[in-house]
Amino acid sequence: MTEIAKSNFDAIIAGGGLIGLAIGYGLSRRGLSVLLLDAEDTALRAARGNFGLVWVQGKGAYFPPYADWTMRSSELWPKLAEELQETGNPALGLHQKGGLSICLSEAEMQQRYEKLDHLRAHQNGRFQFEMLDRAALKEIMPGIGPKVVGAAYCPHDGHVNPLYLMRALQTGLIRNGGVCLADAAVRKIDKIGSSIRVGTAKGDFECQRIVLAAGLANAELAPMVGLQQSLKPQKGQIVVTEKLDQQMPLPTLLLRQTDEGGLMIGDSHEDVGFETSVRPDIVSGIADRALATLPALADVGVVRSWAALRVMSKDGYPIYDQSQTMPGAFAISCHSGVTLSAAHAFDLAGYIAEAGLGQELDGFSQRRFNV
Amino acid sequence: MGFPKGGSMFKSTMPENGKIVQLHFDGEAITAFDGDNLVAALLRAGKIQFRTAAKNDPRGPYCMMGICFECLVEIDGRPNQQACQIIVRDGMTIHRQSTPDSSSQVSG
Amino acid sequence: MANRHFQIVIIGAGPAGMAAALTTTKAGLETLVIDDQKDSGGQVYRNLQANRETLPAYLGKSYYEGAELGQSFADCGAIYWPDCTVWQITDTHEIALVSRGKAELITADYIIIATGAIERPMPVRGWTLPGVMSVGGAQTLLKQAALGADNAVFVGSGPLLYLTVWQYIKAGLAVRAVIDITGAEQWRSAIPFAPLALLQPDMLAMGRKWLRDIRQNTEVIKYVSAVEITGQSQARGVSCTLSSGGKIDIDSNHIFLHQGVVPNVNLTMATGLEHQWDHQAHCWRPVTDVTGKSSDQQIYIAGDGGGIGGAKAAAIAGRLAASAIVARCGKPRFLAQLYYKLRHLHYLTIRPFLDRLYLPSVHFRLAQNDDTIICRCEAVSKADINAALASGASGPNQLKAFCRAGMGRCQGRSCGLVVQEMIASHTGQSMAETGYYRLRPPVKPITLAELASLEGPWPD
Repeated sequence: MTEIAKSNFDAIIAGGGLIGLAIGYGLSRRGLSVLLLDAEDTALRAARGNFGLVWVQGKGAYFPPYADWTMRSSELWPKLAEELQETGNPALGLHQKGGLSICLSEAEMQQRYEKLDHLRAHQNGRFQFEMLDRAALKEIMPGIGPKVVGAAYCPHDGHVNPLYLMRALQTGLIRNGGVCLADAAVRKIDKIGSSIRVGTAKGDFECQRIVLAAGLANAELAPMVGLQQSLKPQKGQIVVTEKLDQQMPLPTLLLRQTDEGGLMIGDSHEDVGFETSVRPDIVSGIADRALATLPALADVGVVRSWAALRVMSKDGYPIYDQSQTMPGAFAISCHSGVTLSAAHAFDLAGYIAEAGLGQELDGFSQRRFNV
Repeated sequence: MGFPKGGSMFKSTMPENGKIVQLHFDGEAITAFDGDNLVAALLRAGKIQFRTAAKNDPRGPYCMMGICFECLVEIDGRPNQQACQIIVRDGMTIHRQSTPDSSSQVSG
Repeated sequence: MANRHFQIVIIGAGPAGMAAALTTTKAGLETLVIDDQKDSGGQVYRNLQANRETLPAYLGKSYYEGAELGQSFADCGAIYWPDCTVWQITDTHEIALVSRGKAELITADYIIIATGAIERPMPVRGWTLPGVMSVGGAQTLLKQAALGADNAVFVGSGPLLYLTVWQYIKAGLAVRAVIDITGAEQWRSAIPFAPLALLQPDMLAMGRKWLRDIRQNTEVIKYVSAVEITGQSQARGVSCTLSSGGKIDIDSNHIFLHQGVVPNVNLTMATGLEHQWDHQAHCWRPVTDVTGKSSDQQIYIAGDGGGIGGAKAAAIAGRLAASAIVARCGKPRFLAQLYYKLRHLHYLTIRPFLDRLYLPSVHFRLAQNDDTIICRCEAVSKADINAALASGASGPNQLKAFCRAGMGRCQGRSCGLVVQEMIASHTGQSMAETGYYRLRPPVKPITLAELASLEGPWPD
């Protein structure tokens, strides 16, 4: 421990979820020395509750910078997956063959179409989608139930195993010389000479850059570096089934099949504070919708369920900020940690390593709320 | 009856009586007693492998109390039934199953 | 949202649950007993009502001692729902259950969780092969179906193992061998507590009788340092390595494993109740006061699910929890409660001795071969778990995320304690500090149709 404490890291990352790991990995592959500080095994941990979509459709429909950023990350994903495969970990299971958003009413179809059409308009042809009526959808998913009206298909969508992603990022970070400390949540940050000092239960560490990627805890940490991040928890619940033979050709927004065979089914958007219990009425509703989508799943057993808290900013879009009062301090939060992993590992890590957040990310500052 | 090699097999420790019922296990006719626990009926018939968790990973009943989930079989078309929790019915059709039950992704 | 309401809901119809029901019904409290088996009795008194007609003598005296309790339970006026599985208890005391394809939410003023114990996992190479069962499983076959395996080998230690071998012998089955893993290490640690154990001379006498009959009727192999089960498509035999260095190979198609029982904490943990690591018994147990009240004021734990004590202690614990509840409902029974507390304490005097004598040593608690499967449900081996530890997994939940151990249907019942100890051993943290899998409902699998049967259209 004293050895670690003595060295001055190029970057310390506060938070070992998908944001922290992707940025930490990205910095380490550029040759920076990285210390990643993680909280307890049983802390809130939004990343472990993740569904696993690498999703483009709909994102940033009313906020073009987010649409651009999402599309960029989606295009970079194959490169990330290829690099991470070299860590020798279990296959990430990245599939980017498109995705569906199933609609159970004409109203849903209309709403979906309007949103995606708006997105297409400001993306200058970069973003493609197609509304599939029931007949067209049935060709892709023959098992759809009678209540299914159609779906929005987007060729840019995909999915991946988010837990294996975390494992691969962590292995990659360690291989590149990074250090990961568990049970070391950040408690204090201040300047010491030309460095930044970070205090944790496991001691103090020094660095040139501090990246706050602690999810909901960023709200507490940001002021320590002269920033502000107003974040609220939004609860989502997911159930997972026993394994089945592969039968879903594409992931859908609420139902996807993992490479192992289990179905992941979501979800909910609940505004209930810091509360992560699984509610039988909610999971029952999730089951209901899954059976409306694919009635043949009736006898499939649910073996696990969980609730996690999405890290939500006021408008739901990411917050990327760097401190004016403490140069080298950054605060990052978003609730699409999987989709944005590639952009984080490559582009964002590059900005953090070099000059700072570029113009591309200007619109994502917390300042956008001070209007 | 298919006695396993090695000489050990399950047998009754009390006089066998009761109404006979017929089961089918992977197409083979098996005799059981009305009210039998399904695992007991299959073990008595010398069937100890109920499924494969993956290629080269054969499994059979283990705990007999419903907490290990090893004794999963397909009964009358429904998969993943815990045989140790089931009482036999005349005409019950049971199949071994090989649903993708192991994490073939994990590297050594 | 909730449907029917009951004053008292008891989950589990083993000795603790049945005894609790006798007390609550006698006090006039509306009592529902839910159990996932088709008949009452739990595991220890499995199939007792049916066996009373044919009376297989080999099951032994202590088994039939449960008959009176079972009969009284049947007559006590409690509402009894067998074949009914509880899959969740919410923080507002709604109990989610499923029976015959239909799910339901009920509520209760007080809940007594009496879900008993499970066997400590015994991860030896080959333990997943067909033909290998737990000793508890073998004993259940004897009770449930009068079925036993000739020429079987029993491996491990603990009262349940000795009792089952004894029952096998009395039933006329030929037991091929008993490989007893109790060693000098266990005796050294247990002997100082022998005087306490002497407060229960009948238990000790019973144990001595089993061990004597076993010695006289089968080969007993002791002082082994390793055991593995051989065979490809099924178990073919056991190979044991003696501490002295020699090897003994035994042919058999039926191997029964046992190295102790631990509380089944899946429902109590998924319910969010506080738990503590029991250092003496080397397992988790819910935190309770002396009457069994948990960290939730409305939920009590009774029986082996709160800490191993055996059938008689479980019945007393059921009475104790029930009378604490009855007192809170306005009918204090001070003398009865005091009596139950003292009797409970008395039954537990043998635990310090037994817990230490039959705690398997670390090389049986952990797997000794890299290819041994640890998480049976997901077929995750010892090597796989070590690889995940090398990837930086520092706790059971991160390890679960990295390699899927604990993600299967059994929710860690077969692997959790082993994984926890592997992590503790790797990180140098204590078992308590290492923690356990974060358990969530459903505590047992439930189908999508059953889940959907609970509620109407999707909430917005």
